[in-house]
Amino acid sequence: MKLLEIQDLKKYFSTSKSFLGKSEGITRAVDGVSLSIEPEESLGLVGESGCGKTTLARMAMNIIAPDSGNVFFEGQDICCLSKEKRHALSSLMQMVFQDPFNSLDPRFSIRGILKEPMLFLSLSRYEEQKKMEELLCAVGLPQNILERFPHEFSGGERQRIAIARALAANPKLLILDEAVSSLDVLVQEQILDLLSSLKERFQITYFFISHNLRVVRRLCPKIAVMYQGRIVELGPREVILTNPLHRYTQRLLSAALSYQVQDEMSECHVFDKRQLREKQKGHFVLE
Amino acid sequence: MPSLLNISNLSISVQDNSSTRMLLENIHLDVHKDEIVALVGSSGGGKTSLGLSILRLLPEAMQITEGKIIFRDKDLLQTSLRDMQDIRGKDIAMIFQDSLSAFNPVFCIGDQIAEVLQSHAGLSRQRARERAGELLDLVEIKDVKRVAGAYPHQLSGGLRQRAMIAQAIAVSPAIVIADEPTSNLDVTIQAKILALFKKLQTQMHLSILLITHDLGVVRFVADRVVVLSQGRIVESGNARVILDAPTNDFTKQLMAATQI
Amino acid sequence: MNVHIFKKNRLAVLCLLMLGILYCSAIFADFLSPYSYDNEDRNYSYCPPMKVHFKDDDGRLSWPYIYGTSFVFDEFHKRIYTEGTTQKYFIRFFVQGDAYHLLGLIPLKRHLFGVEEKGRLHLWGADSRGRDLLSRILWGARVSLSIGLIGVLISFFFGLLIGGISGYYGGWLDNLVMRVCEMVMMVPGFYLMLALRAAFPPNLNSLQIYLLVVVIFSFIGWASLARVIRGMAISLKQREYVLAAKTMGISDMRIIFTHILPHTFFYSIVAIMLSIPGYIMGESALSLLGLGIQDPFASWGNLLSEAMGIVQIRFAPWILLPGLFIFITVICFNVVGDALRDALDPTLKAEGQK
Repeated sequence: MKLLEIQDLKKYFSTSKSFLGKSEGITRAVDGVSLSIEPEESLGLVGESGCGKTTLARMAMNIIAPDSGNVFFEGQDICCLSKEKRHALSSLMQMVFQDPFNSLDPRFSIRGILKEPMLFLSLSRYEEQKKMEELLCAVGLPQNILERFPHEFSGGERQRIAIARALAANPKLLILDEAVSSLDVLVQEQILDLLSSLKERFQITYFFISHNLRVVRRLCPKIAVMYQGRIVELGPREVILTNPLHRYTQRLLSAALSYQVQDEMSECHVFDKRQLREKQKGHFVLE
Repeated sequence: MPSLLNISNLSISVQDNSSTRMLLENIHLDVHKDEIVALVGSSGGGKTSLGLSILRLLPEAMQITEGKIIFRDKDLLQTSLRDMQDIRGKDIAMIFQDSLSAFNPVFCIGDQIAEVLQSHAGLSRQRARERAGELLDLVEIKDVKRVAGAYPHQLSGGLRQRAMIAQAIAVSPAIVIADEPTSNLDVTIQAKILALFKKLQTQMHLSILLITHDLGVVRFVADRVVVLSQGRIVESGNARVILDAPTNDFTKQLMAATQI
Repeated sequence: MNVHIFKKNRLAVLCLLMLGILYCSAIFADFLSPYSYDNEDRNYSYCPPMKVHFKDDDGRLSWPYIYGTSFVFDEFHKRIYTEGTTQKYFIRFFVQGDAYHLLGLIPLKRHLFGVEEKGRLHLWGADSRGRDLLSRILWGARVSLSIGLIGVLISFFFGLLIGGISGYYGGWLDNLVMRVCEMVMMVPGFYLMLALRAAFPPNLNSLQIYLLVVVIFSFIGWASLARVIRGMAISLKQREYVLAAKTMGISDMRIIFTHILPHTFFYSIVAIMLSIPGYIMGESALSLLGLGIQDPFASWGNLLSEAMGIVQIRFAPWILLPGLFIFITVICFNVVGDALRDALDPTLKAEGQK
């Protein structure tokens, strides 16, 4: 059974509203995206800022309601769930955000931050303490930091705390929204190493969203490329990296590899008519 | 060839709560005419402080304990603050990582660039605005009119960064200190901004001190590279040579982190 | 909270101490004052402050004492008090006096200081009915200082709650609440206060009046705070940690109380300190006009109502002392509030973090 299945999600935003509230322009943030993630097969989603990937991630987490389309987690439609089911779902699917400086509440101690996701697990004090220690150990942080506050830590350390928090509820799927983009390259490597080891240990599947192919290739055997709200290419990692077929993927790859970028891509007005076609086994391209 | 900017034996100390420690020790750095020098190191390592010290903009907690910064035969550390004000923006300009907070949110971009021209180059308001438009065009902004009339928060990161570059080169400085100018941007935009730097280097005979933590950037754009680790320079020289065969462990680590 | 910055401000520490003294005096007013607030003796009407002597007739140091006072009427039928020279009343400590309940629980009769039965001690003079002003000021402190505090706490509780909910949810709820706030803020506070008071019958017992005054102030005060908190909530709800909490399935109310409102405390605490004086003066104004605390109960405002005539001020200026206390209290709250703002301002933290 697929872990996460996204079917034809759409989300449009109106760009400007006239005085009476009528919208004068529409931004198609997500324009009919379908994806699926199998258990233990992490997926990387690559695209520039503004292509809609963050909106997509938030719809997958049920933070924003889609205009149309469905999201299924382990076969269940996540949009209209009862309160208990929603709590259960929140422990199965967690998110790590981009900005380590803002994703942790500065007034909460580390203990408070790690405790929050465990609220619905009904653990005793002792079990909670043990779990926190385990989590800190798993992310490579010392045990004695529970009483300290986020501002005492560096960006990389905070991101580790954010990852520990996301793991606290034993999720099966972890959505990482540009989780390493605001870190220094050396620290990025460390965090990617950490994520790699956690994948083995806790058997988590990742949905890794980034604008940089370099970051995504380590953890994700499957890569999807997004442009202007549509998926333009989807396929196994090796194929995408060695033989990208869509113009946009080629552009991203050359930017990531050698900082060379061809001229502007003109806007694709005929997107609507295009479909993802399978060129080879498992390799889809929009055309 | 004599260097445009010569930093010799610079040391900076920083006060951390109640104790003092050395942030940078015995730094030697040269920037020549028409050259892009990359200063590489990890975050918090003092690269930004080095850039700020050239313009004497260090926060109070940091002190320059020794060294000289010679620019056009003048030691900047001995120059009066009044003369420094003249140099800042006109001879040596700086662009920052966070383009949003570098601009005043209540004025539009065109006005902010024109302001630099009015105060440093003495242009009339009308002329300054025209020149601002020309500068925005020079940095490859397509819709100049829209961008000039827009407020900082209305523009995307890439456009804002270009606008910041336009403002920095407005009065044709000799050197631009660029502090992690592309770290907040997407790879594709990053690539374009770096290409812009190269273009400005040749067209305007601009020297750039590029501060970054990413060696990939260095390979693409820099002529020389200086590697900073734990407050000291561990490797420096021609970019191509060093990147092809790094000798220092830290440099090797950085190289490994940027491979695909 | 940077206690260090607060401590550096000597004036603020002094003012904080002063406020501490005032509030403690209010709590122990019944013990500290020589007489109860309604203990009157017409023989001492408008008696001037009595002089305490420390040296006896031979010029040697002696236990403090006062002389008995008597008066005669002059041609305008005004009393002229003269100090006697024979009858000495020693000031004793822990004397027996009017009965009271310390802290509302322990029945006691001892007062901190006083004089024996026949004499009357008026250190700060007496009012028209011969009631000791010092005692009445201490008792009045209870009402004036507590109304300020309780009123402020209630209105801030509502301001925070309503502002937080309104800002967090947004949409039509936010619109509605803000329009209501604006309507409340539109009416000039003082007149609203009078109007609300007038809506109730004039003859209510003292406790009811007290509660009514507290409620009226709370009603006026919440709106402006709610607006500010709502603005803060709108920007705070965009923060990523709020989003993170949502993804964990935390309920909205819990998010508001644990993630959003605590970040408004910097502002709220300072706003509280700076508005207490307004409440104290509001109560004084109401009582001055006869609409607040009534005789025989004392509040600084209603003590001042006695001083509303030029005759009284001219011939019994000590009647204005409650005004001095109001002044001191207000200044102290303002100074402490200002210093708190500096201490709590995160941008002023010494040696900031990266």
